[in-house]
Amino acid sequence: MKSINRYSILAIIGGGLLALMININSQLSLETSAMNASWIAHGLGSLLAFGLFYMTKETMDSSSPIHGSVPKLYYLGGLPGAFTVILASITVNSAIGLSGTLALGLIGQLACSILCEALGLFGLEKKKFNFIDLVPITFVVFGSILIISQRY
Amino acid sequence: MTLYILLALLNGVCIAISRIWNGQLASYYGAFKASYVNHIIGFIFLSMVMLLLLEPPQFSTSSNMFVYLGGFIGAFYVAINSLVMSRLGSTNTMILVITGQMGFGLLLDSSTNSSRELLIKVLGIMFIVIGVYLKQAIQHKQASLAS
Repeated sequence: MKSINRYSILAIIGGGLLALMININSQLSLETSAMNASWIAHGLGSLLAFGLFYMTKETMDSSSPIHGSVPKLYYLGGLPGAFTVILASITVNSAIGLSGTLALGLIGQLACSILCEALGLFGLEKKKFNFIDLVPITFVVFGSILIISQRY
Repeated sequence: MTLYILLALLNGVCIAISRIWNGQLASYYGAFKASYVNHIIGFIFLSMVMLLLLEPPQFSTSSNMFVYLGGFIGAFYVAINSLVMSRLGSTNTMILVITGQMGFGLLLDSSTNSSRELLIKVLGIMFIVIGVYLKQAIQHKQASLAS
């Protein structure tokens, strides 16, 4: 139980770090440009990501991941990733602010993942669309409306 | 305002697609190699776009080095996420991460300027966290029914 609590706190801190990251990148975009901020963040992120990959190389090789050839498309996650930093930098510095950016981003994520699952896109297991799937997104939409309603 | 709302929704779509593709890559190569590929591909892509648009690289004008931390945090998060995920499972991890993200996001959000506004935003976050919880709960239920 104790260790579960410790990891729970770590997960919450992880989420907090993501919010901090978006805030910092949008600050950088004010001093440069949205595209420049994304470029710098990806460049510096590559360095640390390579370091982490290099350090965990041995342990990762022994755990057996799926073998076989990877569809080329899955290598391109960095493309939408590049747009993520650009778009967030624009919206955080707008009337929506950081909480609005995070909340609306969640709606987009949920809607997109429901769609991808319903169509069985990108190797995801095809799941028949069920109206109950709309319940969670309704909560998220309502919460987001509450957050951005304060900006009008 | 409407334009920004649309851009923020589009941002979520980009996050989802990036996570799905990267998650698939991680299932072949592990989280750290996938994260490295993700970052370097994004960097190469942006470098090419900037070359094409003749946009010169610019760096921070202030002496505050803090603004360069963003990229490192993104890569570091992958380590936290895979550690927590292995202990708590994806459902709990997702809910706790969103809670931390929305809560800390509200603290950092300098656009909040009255206690009434803060209260309504906290209420909004509670709805969002409940929504994320329901999404995970439904997914879990459907998975156990299917098996």
